[in-house]
Amino acid sequence: MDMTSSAQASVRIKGSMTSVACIQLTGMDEQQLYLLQDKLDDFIDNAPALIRGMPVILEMSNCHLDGRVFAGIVSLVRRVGANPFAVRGCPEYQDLYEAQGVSYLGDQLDTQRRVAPLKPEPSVSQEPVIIETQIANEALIITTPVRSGQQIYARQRDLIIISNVSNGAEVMSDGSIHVYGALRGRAMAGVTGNENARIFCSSMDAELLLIDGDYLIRDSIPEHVLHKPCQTFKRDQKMIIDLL
Amino acid sequence: MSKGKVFVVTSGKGGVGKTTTSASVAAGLALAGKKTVVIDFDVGLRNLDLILGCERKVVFDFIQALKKECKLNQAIIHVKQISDNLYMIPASQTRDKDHLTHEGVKEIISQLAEEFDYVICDSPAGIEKGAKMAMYFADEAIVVTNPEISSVRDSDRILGFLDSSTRLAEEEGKRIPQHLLITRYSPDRVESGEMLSIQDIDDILSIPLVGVIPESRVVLDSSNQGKPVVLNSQDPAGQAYEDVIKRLLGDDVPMRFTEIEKKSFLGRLFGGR
Ligand SMILES: Nc1ncnc2c1ncn2[C@@H]1O[C@H](COP(=O)(O)OP(=O)(O)O)[C@@H](O)[C@H]1O
Ligand SMILES: [Mg+2]
Repeated sequence: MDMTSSAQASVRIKGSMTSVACIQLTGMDEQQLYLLQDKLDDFIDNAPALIRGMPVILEMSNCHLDGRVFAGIVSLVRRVGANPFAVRGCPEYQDLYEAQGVSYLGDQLDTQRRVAPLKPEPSVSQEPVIIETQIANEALIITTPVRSGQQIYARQRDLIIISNVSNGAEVMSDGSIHVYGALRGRAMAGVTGNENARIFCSSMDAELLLIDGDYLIRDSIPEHVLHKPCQTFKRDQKMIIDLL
Repeated sequence: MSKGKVFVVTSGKGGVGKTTTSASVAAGLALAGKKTVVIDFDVGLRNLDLILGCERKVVFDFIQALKKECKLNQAIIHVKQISDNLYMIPASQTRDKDHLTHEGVKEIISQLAEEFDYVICDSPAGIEKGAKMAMYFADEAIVVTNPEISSVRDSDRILGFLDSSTRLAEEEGKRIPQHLLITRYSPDRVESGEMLSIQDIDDILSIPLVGVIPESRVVLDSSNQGKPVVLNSQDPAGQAYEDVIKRLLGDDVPMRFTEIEKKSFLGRLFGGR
């Protein structure tokens, strides 16, 4: 087996609530299918709402596919409840995509470009969802507690919460998230592809911290920042939490 | 024209003391001179009538009134043995919740609000239709919580629904006033770390506290006798409910029964309460 290809293989999942999710598959081949499976399992454990029912674009580069391998990819993604409807990249396998009923969108990979929503509002849950669209680039300011089961999404702007975010609540933003209170729920910043987004809070107790596809779960948040004011950001695709 | 106030007593979790609270709050308001009706929304799990000692007077129920199989007045039971001002509408034990419709519930509650000073809605557990219907037309909410984490989390969830899923929220963008009632509180067990403290609960829920009802064996006995514990002015739980009524009526009375009680010398000697 070609060792270099396995070292370079990677899977990145970039989710967002209201547009489409992107799964970037690099160096994928039959041997690397397990990598996708692990990543998806991880993701579904930690951020199920983000991917369930989502239209997904598979972004392929340097993949070695045959009909079975591609069918495997599609079924792994479907298994977690997402809908892989299209592929970008690796034009040589166009026929394989079409055989699986997946559209081919060309081979221009552009992770920074926003993808237009396919349907207006996929309903991922029956919980109360507050979705704010952009008026100016002003931040969305929430002054009341965000309760378990509630979701707040600040589209194309920062989200400022002057209260607590409960366990079981989800706050999302295309920009940064500022919580002037205890952050006990899930916070997802830069969800449509902004790796410079940050998450600030007055008391860190989060269930999940996610910035542009990378995340930390509760167990991987270092002890010394718990219940302290801090900020979370990304450097070289690594999640970093600093005390403020 | 005076319009009555509609309260929902809700919690998310079951078995935390909603029905006990509905019965005591309704009885207490009635004894304070307010004409009060309490509705059992727990379709299929009727028990408010038992606690109010009128299970033998049940002829028609809430769902029948809703479906106009009887007149509203026929479904209202006068709970005279407790107070001339107290009335209740029993839940149906048989009919299923599909009959709970917005229009039906709305019509009944608005008629009741014309006639009564207070309408108390005893919510079923959960976040399904029954619970949502019980809260939908409320003007204020009493959220009942026990000092344990699962109950507090469920209350947090219910508070989220109260923010967004009431008529006042949907039509006027208002959040209804929310009152926290902690029940089955036991200062000893808080001290020993088995239970959450009032402070812990406030950190999570952060809504105004309307009362703390201590754990008391008398509650179950009272319910079994069809006499809500608020009628028992000897018992700490009864007294704590009396305080709740005063606060709901605008009196600012201090919290009691929140600290460990120092047993008297005789109490220690004989191990009694
Ligand atoms: N303060 C209290 N002390 C002791 N037991 C209580 C107290 N409040 C409620 N209970 C008991 O808890 C049980 C559940 O109460 P109930 O009011 O029926 O709850 P819910 O309506 O929320 O399901 C009953 O057995 C009741 O007697
Ligand atoms: Mg009950």
